[in-house]
Amino acid sequence: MRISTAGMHLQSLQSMLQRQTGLARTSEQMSSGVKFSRAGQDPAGATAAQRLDHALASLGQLGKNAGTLQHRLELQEHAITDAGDRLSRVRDLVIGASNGAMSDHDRAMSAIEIRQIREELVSIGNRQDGSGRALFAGTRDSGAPFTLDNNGVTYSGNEGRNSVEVAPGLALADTDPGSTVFTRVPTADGGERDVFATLAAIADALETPRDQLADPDVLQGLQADLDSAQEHLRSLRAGTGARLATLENAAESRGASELALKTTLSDLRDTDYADAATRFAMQLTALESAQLVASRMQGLSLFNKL
Amino acid sequence: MSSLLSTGSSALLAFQRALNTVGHNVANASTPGYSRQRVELEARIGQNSGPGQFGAGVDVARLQRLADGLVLGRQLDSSGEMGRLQQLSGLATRLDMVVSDSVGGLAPPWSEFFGAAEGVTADPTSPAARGALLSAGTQLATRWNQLDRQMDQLDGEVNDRLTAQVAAANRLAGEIAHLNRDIAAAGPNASPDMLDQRDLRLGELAGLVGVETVAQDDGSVNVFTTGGQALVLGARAMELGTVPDPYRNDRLQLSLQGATGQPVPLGSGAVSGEIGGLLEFRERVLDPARAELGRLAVAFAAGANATQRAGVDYNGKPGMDMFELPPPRVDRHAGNSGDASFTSRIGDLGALTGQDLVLRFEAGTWSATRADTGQAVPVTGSGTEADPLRVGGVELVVGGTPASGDRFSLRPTAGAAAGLQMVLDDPYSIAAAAPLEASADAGNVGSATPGASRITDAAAFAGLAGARIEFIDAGHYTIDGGAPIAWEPGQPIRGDGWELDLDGTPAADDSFTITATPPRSADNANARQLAALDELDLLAGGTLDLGTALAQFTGKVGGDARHAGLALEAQTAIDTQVTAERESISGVNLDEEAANLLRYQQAYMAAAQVIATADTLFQSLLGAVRR
Repeated sequence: MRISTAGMHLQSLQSMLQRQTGLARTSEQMSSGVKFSRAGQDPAGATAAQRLDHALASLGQLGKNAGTLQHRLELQEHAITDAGDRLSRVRDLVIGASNGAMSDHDRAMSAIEIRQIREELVSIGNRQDGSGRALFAGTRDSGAPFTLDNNGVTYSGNEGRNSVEVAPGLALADTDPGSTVFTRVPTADGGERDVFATLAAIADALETPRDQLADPDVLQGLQADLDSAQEHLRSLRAGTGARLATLENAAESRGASELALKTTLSDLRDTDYADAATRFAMQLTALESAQLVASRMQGLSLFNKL
Repeated sequence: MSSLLSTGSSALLAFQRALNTVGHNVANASTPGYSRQRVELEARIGQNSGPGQFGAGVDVARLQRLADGLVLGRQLDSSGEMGRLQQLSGLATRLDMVVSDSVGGLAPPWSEFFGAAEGVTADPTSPAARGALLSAGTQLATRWNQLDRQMDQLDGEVNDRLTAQVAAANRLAGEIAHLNRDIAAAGPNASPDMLDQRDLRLGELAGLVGVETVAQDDGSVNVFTTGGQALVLGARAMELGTVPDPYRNDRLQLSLQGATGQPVPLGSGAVSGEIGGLLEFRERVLDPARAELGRLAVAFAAGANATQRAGVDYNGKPGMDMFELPPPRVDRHAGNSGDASFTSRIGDLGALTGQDLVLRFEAGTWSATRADTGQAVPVTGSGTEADPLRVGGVELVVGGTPASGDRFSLRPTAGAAAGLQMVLDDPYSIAAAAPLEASADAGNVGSATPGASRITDAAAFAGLAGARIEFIDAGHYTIDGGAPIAWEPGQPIRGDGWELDLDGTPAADDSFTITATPPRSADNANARQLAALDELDLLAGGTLDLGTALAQFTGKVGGDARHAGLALEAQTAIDTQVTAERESISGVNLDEEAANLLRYQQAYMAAAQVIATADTLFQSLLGAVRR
């Protein structure tokens, strides 16, 4: 085929430009670390990467949510343990008072301590999570849920309990409402009773001189209620512990998901440096030879020899 | 001897011409569009002189221009395609960069918004978490506005480029018409350089609008658009122009001067070249992308607003809309004779496609077609407030009186992305809580527990103090002792302004107590709905969720850019091939010219020698006679 001089120049120019374009693309991939900087360079990859980025961002937020929830559940665990300890003390006092040798005066002293413990329990029930939210108020947690007056303890929270998503598709229950923890406590006879009322009844019984007691066995019944309240707290504590354990599993599952997502994203989007470096070297050689060919071709002319 | 002299001088003359031509070729070796020339030599026939015919020298038969009309045709086709694809690919890539930018795209604030919504679910009463959601929402809405503005700039640029390129095309068409006139007047002696100039202009014109040429007997060529409309007929050029779109003044359409001199609008299919590429980009890439951006904005805002309205805010009040959206856009055709106007609103989110429609009123009935394909779209309803026209997910109430033949452009989601606005500014106005606090009575026997609740009518809900739901048997319930209502599993309990889901199965005599959620509730049920909005199948008749639609949008714009880019690469290879073909026939090779220079120079010197010999012969003859 006949070649024109201008055509020859054009050809070598175009081959240099083409190689420069390829080289620029490879060097962009190497310096930015990603294979594509806009969707047009890999529409399917960009679509998938966008979804994965969103999933990763959401995992991060779920981790923060889990942190908040863990903090609250740990506080709940402490509060329930503290309440259980107080009830154990009451139980010791009741057993001591059941001893016939104890004087009415000593019994009255125990009653004072029990009333004190009852107030402590109210304050445990009113504990907050450190950000102004009551732990045991259901979803009405802006104020103290338990108030103590002459008529006893009133619960002003509700039965609400939030679910919080802590891993994709896994939602865990927030703290238990105060009614579940303190006011609807199972009794020995299968009914339900306010733990504060149980304590008040025990204190009342101890304040009454032994010979004036209407029912001499009243303490035994109350002690059974106390046992069942302790059992109730233990099972709540176990439930809280189970939720905390699930939280830890969720953290592991988030970590695994994150790793999987990042690996997929990296395969999809990140520059393979070994591949890119090889390509870069090849493209560089190709450009250099194109430049050499162009300069040699341009030197060729019959006119130079005339 | 005189014949030898004339033979020699004919050769001198011929080789002088040939050397001239070589010089002309060398001079134009890098002139764009130049076709190399060659003198064709021909032996001069002598006169019969007994023993035979002795030749009488050489003549220049003609000056030949080495060009191939078929290659020119291919070159024009390729130029048109190159021009079209360069524009299409260049602009589509710019749109792609706008949409899929890792910083300026929709994806980052989108993730931010849903992250902030998740944050509210973990700490529903925290003003910081609520504030973060509001600012993420504002960011997201602003990003939508910015993207639409950037697309609007591209739209404006298409208008500007169209105007500039139409002017350039008109100049070229005028020059071709002039050259046609001169070439026809010169007849067979038309200068090859003039033909080159015409071909060059044809190539440039093809790059702008795409052309087909038909050669005429008088040497002129008629030029047509790829759609067959005449651009140049002999010495007459038809004027290309721009006319405003009949539905909207801000957009220009291409027009061509028709037979009567009036401008006739040209569709994007009628032209190729850069102008065709601009129109195609606008119709096939930019408009659908903008409509889809708008559709996403509409679906997102409508979904977020519906979620807000279903719950109660921190103050215990029914939630207010979070985003404000402009209504679907209806524009009247400039030629309408009736005075009808429309009030529009989004009706069915699932039916919304984002495609632009044309509404037509003919003989008392409304019909609709897609603006791009002309495909019919069903219209129902009569257009009154009670029974609005329903088309493509949009509801329209007609005001005024339409005349038969009136047309309107309906762009359901145009302007939505530009007008999307966050309207809440108080963090406490986020409706994170479910509207009802419900509890099952302690004595219930069935397994039913109260589930999610929603506000269905804010005004009616505002009057709710509390209510009691009693199951009179397993299949019927009453609200506050009212008329029995049949219970269907899976269906909510519907009160006045509210709804409550029951999970599980109720038994006879079970009852539930509900109260309106009080202020300062830490309930997060409604915030969880908002956080899950990106996975809710709102679009395409309830089959497509927002997160997927957003990723598909990015992928679609990227795909358009990629296809245009690949087509351009393929066309570039074809164009290189065609250029090489042309160069092979018409291009000047300097080595070849150098060889010719030597050849003709030597021949010229030899011819001069012939004349010298003739002179010597003559002198010898004279000497002989003198003696």
